[in-house]
Amino acid sequence: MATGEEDGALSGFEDEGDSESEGEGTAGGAAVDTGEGEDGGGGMFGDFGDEDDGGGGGTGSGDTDDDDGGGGGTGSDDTDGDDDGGGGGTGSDDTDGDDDDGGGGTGSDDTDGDDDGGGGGTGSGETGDDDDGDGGTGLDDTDDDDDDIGGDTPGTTGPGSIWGVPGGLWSVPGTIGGDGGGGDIGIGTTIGPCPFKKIYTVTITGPDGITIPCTIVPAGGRLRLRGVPQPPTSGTYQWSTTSGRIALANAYADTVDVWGGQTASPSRGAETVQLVFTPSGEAPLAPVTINVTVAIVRFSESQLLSWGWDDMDNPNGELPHASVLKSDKTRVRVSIEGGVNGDELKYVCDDPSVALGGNGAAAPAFDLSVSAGGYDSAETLLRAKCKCEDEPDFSAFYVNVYKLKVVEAAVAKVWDSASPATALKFGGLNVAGWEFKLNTKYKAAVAVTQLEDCGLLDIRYDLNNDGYLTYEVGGSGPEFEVIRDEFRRSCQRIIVVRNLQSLYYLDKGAKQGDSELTFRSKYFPDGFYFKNGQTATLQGPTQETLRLKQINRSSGVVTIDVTPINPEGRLLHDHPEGSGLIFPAAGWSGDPIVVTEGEATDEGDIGWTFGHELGHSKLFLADVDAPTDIMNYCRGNPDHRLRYKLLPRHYKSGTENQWQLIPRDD
Amino acid sequence: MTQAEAAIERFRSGERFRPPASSFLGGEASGELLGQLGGALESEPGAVRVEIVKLLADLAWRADPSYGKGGRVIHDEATIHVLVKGGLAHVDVGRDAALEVLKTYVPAELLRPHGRALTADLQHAPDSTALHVIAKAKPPEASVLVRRLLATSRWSREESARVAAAALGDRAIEQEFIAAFASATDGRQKVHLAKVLGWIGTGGALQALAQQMRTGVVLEVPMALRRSARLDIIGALGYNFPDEVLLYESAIRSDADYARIEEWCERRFHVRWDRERPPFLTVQGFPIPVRP
Repeated sequence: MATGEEDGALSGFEDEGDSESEGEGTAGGAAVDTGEGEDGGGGMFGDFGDEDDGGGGGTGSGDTDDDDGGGGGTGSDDTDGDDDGGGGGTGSDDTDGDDDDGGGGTGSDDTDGDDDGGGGGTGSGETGDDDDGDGGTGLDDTDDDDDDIGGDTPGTTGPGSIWGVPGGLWSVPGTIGGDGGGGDIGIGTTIGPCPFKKIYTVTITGPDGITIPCTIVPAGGRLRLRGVPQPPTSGTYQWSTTSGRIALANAYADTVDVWGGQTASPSRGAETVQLVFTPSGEAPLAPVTINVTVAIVRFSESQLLSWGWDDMDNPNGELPHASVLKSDKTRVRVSIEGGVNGDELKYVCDDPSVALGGNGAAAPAFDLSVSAGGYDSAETLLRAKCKCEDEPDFSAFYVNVYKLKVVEAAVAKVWDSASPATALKFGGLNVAGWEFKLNTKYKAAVAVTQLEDCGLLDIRYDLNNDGYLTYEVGGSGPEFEVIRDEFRRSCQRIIVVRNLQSLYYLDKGAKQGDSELTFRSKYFPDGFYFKNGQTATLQGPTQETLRLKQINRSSGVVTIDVTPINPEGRLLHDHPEGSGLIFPAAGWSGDPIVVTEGEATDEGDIGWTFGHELGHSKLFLADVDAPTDIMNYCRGNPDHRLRYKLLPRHYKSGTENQWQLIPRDD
Repeated sequence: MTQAEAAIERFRSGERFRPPASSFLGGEASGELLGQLGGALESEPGAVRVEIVKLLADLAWRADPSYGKGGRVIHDEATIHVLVKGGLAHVDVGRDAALEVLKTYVPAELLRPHGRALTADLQHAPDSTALHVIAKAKPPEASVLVRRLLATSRWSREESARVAAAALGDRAIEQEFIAAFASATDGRQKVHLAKVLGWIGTGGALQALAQQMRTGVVLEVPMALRRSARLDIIGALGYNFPDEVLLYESAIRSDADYARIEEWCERRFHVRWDRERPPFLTVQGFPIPVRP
């Protein structure tokens, strides 16, 4: 790579063999040619600086008669006293309109006071007739830095500036990717054909024609490469590859699109792209190649995940979501295929105030840190990008920042020592352990449960000593109220009991032969949970099973059918007022939430029910049809997630996004 | 090793606080516990600070006379001082936890002496919960800061900034919230706006809450939950009157309890009702299905 000090730009031609056009602190001489015929213009090279500059530009008065060689040039010198390369030069053109003139050139100097290589030069084109060399334009490095890598603007030359016939101009193009010498234009020699053979090269660059090209292409993504001939000239481009993992589009243009296939490269740089450039009227140049890599970046759940990860099940390529507590951090697993390391990419959020991605590791798999901003609820997209100028996107995922939702509940295991049948199977239920288990699932939605273990409470609730907690649907009844009133807390309560009997009470007694039952009005219209056709047991001196043929929810009258016991659909026995129709329930939501051990064979039936019911009561989540979700409408799930993914509601049409739906306004 | 040192060691090892504090500490809190926890609150990392805040809050509200009546209020000024001084010492999850406790459990009149510190905290790191605390404390010196925040793109549309502005006297914003609350018929919206008016806590906001004490709006989750929005209106009033036992949710068990609250509203806010009290409802329970 060129440096300014070492590679001061060639500032033009020597003037009849005296001065040096490059080198350290060399002052150019002056020459004005005023002779006739085939003369080259003179030039002035002056280095007014005091340091190790390259050669300065020169001023030449052009030849003004016929049939002459190159025009003169003005070189702006390096005047800032630093270590720049040489400045460019301005050439005044031959203006006589006749043949065979060389163009002039203007060189802009490096004026920013740094140590760059030499600036470029502009050549004013010859404006007469044929066969003249045109002028060239050189761009200076103007970024005020001292670097020599990474592409300051190099000099370019205008067409025809290279090969002027006697007196034409000659220029050295800038080096791509460095601050080395820009294209200067000096002044034509005075006589004779240029002694050099015209040589073209072609370089592969980024799409801007300047920067070092990116060589990592996302699977399914695109990378752009550009062929840049030096010196610039027209011609044909032919891009090709033998790789089956990439495809090329626009293969006959200067800029080719390299499309990554769906398979990652087996190693870094495994795919080769070749360019053959053929300058107009010339033979094809030797092929140039560049090795690219098809990389796949996958984001997944990290073992070090602090909050949630929803892979969305990914049927339609939906991007995953990571949840994180406001002001907190989480980690996401990054796995890169193709031989690319994590630190070759960057991890950038669309809205950096919502979240920030950390740095990648020098390894193909690592845990990426993601820091959340101070939002109660906000979302941004985090993208893996190439660090190069073109920044092609790899994978992405959403970061959802939430305020913490704390779900407090007090849990009491309740029995009645006066009624041995109420003794609990799981009296030693580990509430703290269940809090921990629930939180492994709740945290996905940035929620936590905090369960207070109120221990095993002995409450004289089984007033009829039947071993059941008798519960009148709607949350009343003497036995339930005893517990409710004795177990008082300022937060949501949960009670666990051995057995439960849930009842709807008859408002009026029913006699043998009746075909209708009338229940207490408070159950209607919304609280009578039987459905038409459902079978139930009606208590009384002689209880009997019947089918609820038709439920009139406005009147509270239920038409019964006791077939096949009674083909006429009538009661076989008397049932006095206050007899209860038993509703099958494993517990009740409300406050307190009632959870019954019933036929449960392990603690899981109870513990996960805490999470489900608190999901209703405190997170306001609905029952869903999703067997791996904690809010699945029935128990016995293989998993108990809380999701960002839209899940179908069970009791009402539509879907819901649980993370987003949870109120964060406590 | 002191109680505080032992607790902090456990928090450092990743253990979370589990109430009640007496169980967690293995006995009643010692006299020097608060001071020691306060010191640690200023210096420990965020995750430990969160647990210290939870422990401090649990100790404070359980020791408060209101706890036995079903309330959760922190009147202890030493605890409040520790939460303000230590809890707000760093911008992290510990600060979030401290702000949440100050907002939820400390009466407004006990926040007011800390108005300057709370304002400085908001200025240092604007945050929605910090704005809610400011709304509750209503320190006059915060007015300029809140107006300045409201003028920024980050906060101009944030509800919390608007809540703080309304609490500090912006009548136009206050009226917007009141109108939205009064007209809301959706359960979730009504419940949320009730909380908002509670956070604002001005006379106008509280009167608007009282005026809706007979709303029939219900927050409903099909076959899972029917919760009267009146509970949340009462909760919003209770946020501003934490010592009114009749406003504790656990105290509402019958229609007569609603009637007593209405009478209190009539006395306090001179409201009158233009409709009958809706049928009794607190939280309607729904069946947990028997496993198939």
